Amino acid sequence: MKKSVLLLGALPAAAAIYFFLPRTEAASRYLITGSSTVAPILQQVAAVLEERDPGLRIEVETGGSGRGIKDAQGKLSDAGMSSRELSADEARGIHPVPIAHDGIALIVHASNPVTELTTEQVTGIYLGTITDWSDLGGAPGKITVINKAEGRSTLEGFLAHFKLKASDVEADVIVGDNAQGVRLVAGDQRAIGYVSIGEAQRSAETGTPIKLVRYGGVQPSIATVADGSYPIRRTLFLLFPAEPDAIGQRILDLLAADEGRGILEGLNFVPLGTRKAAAPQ
Amino acid sequence: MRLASQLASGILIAFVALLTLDLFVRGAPEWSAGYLFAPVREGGTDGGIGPIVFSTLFVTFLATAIALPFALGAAILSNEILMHSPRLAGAILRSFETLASAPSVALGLVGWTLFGRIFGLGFSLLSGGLTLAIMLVPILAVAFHAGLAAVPRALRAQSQALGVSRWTTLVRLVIPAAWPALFAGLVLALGRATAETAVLMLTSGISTRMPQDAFDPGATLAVHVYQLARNVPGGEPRAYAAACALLVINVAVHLSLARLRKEPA
Amino acid sequence: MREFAPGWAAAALLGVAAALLAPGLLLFLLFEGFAFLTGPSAATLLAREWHPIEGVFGLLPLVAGTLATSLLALLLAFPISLGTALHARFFAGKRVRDLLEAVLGVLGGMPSVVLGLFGTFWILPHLGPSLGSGVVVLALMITPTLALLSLGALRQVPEELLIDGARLGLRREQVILRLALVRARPGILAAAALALSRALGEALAVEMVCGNVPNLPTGLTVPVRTLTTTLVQEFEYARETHAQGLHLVALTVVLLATLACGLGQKLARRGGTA
Repeated sequence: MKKSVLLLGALPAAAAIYFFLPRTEAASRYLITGSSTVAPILQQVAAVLEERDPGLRIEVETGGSGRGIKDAQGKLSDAGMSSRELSADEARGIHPVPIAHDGIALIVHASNPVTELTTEQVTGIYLGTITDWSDLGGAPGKITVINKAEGRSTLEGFLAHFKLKASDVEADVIVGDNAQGVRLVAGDQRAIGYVSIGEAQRSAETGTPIKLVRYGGVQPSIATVADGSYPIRRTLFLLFPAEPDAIGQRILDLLAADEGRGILEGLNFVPLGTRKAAAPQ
Repeated sequence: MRLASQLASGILIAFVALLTLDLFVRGAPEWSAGYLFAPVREGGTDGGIGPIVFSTLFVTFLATAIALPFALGAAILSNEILMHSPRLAGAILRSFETLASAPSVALGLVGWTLFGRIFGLGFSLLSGGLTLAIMLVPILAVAFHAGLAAVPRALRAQSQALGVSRWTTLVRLVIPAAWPALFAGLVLALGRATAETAVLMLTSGISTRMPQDAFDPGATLAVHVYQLARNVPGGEPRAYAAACALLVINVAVHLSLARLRKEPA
Repeated sequence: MREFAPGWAAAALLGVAAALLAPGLLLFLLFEGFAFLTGPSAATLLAREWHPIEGVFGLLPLVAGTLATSLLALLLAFPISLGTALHARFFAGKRVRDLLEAVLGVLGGMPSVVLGLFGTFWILPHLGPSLGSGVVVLALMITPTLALLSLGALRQVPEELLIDGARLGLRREQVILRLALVRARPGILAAAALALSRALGEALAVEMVCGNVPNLPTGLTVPVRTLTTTLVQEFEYARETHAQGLHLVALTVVLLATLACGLGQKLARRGGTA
């Protein structure tokens, strides 16, 4: 009995040990960390580049814009992703390269008759002073307010624009990623949340029952972010610890090319035309 | 009282039946031929769960392989070496029971900070295996200890009376005699390992790509179910499909354990 | 025959290392959180709100959420679990008994995410993301532990005791109530304590249905958050002070679970010598 077990264990053990030898040489393993809003872009870019170059391995990990900045500064990653501007302190020693524009849209269930909100209304909803959809011209029902978990840039962007403090917000549910927010709103006819426009439009187009709310008199979309009319917008950055190396440059080149624009637009972000790294600060 | 207790059992059976039926009704249609081996597509909303199955097997195997020597050593320590110090042995066992009751997400956090950040492994199968091993050690140790303790002392005494060294007694007599119980403990730990989610989500990550080596991240089946249920838009039916696979594995583990228990010692 | 010293040494070394894992875990969490305790935000631990981005790290709503969900879940699970255990031990035929044990085994082996999935579809639409939903899902989770351990405790009641009771003329129900349950009480309480420690440690299933808002649990329909769901939601995005604070959150829940587990062990020991 013991001998057969040993033999049985030997084969997978050998396989496991083999598996331990890192097969990808350090030079072709590229790590990008940071904002979960930007991550889908880099994941698609990675897939394209890996297909062209089988020895290449690009790993995209989330962790928030904060992590993207920190890791790039500390050279813990090869590149970082950020969905917000960097402060002077944060930008020290790294090269931020803008790669796209995005916006934050408020979303409600597709069946919700309310299609437009003003700043006062949004503030009221999130401070808990407006609690029923009938106060906003909708069907009566208690509003399910969805907020984002602390540490996320989307939360910070939202709070900054509406001049709210995190501790003043009265939420019914707190979610983590954009996708969670979309899912919750799609599942609750009385819910309201805010997510990246890219994520929202993508979901709405594939049939998820949500719709983006008009704000500031403008309907959130790629077009209105591109022409600057939609008020809550932000720039997405790739952060390089130094001048982008060979792989980094390949990423930037791809993003600037038609294929890159295709990826960005496919994800409902607004492409830029820049190609060169920004000047060091 | 008979009525009340029958009601309670009835409610329990009804719930579990509803749960398993719901699982299969929603999940089975999503299964395709080769679901278990096909690559993951569209973040999990299409394709199969091949890489996920692989990651699960690898992490489980790795964790068990790491945990086994420590658990066995602990059982030998508490049962053979400390035979005459029951207080010390008891303290060791209590330490294991404490660790076993620790919330797995706390272990996950430790794994993330220690192996992921400080050791620099990031999200990786290796980090997951190491952290899961920490979780398995107490479970295995307690089971192994019970297994060794169940072997009658007389066996050891007789063997030594014949001049056989204690070590040889242990390796060639006691452990083989305790083998069924040891094996049962192993199966139990494997069941826990496959069901574990929190620990692995924080250490081996959520990546659905086929890991190329132990330093790559890889979602295990339970983690994948969670991701599909929470973070992937339109992922619910797929979450159910993966959950079906998970349930089948768990039932298989549970059944084999039950069969082992029925075998004569 | 000569003793194989290296063998014993290796076993001892491995064993000691294994035994040091539990204290090691506690020390690690304390060490990581230490900087927080000596830092400026330490005083906020006692605050009534949890807002890391504003530097407020009040543990109170998290601890309250954890205790509320776990204790209420235990309360909910108790009648079903004990009822099932009683049924299996005293009233059911062999076939039903095997069925019950199988059912409990299947439920017990189910990963928590599957139960969370079940809760998302069947409980969330009715109770909303709230304390109530979290309690129901958690109760489902701990029922197998509670039921199987209670069953074990009931099985340990010696048969003679019950036969004597019947001989004295007591009805079946009285035999059970006055003799078996009393005798098994320490074991059942121990089972409850262990089930509690499992409930305290649960993270993902609860996270899927409880709302995750760090409120004080003032009602069953209020969305809440526990120590464990906080870890799940924030671990990846937390930096420096926030991350250190999370280690203290983890330490708190580990201590709570250890307390419950220790209580269970103490009760079990007392039952054994009864």
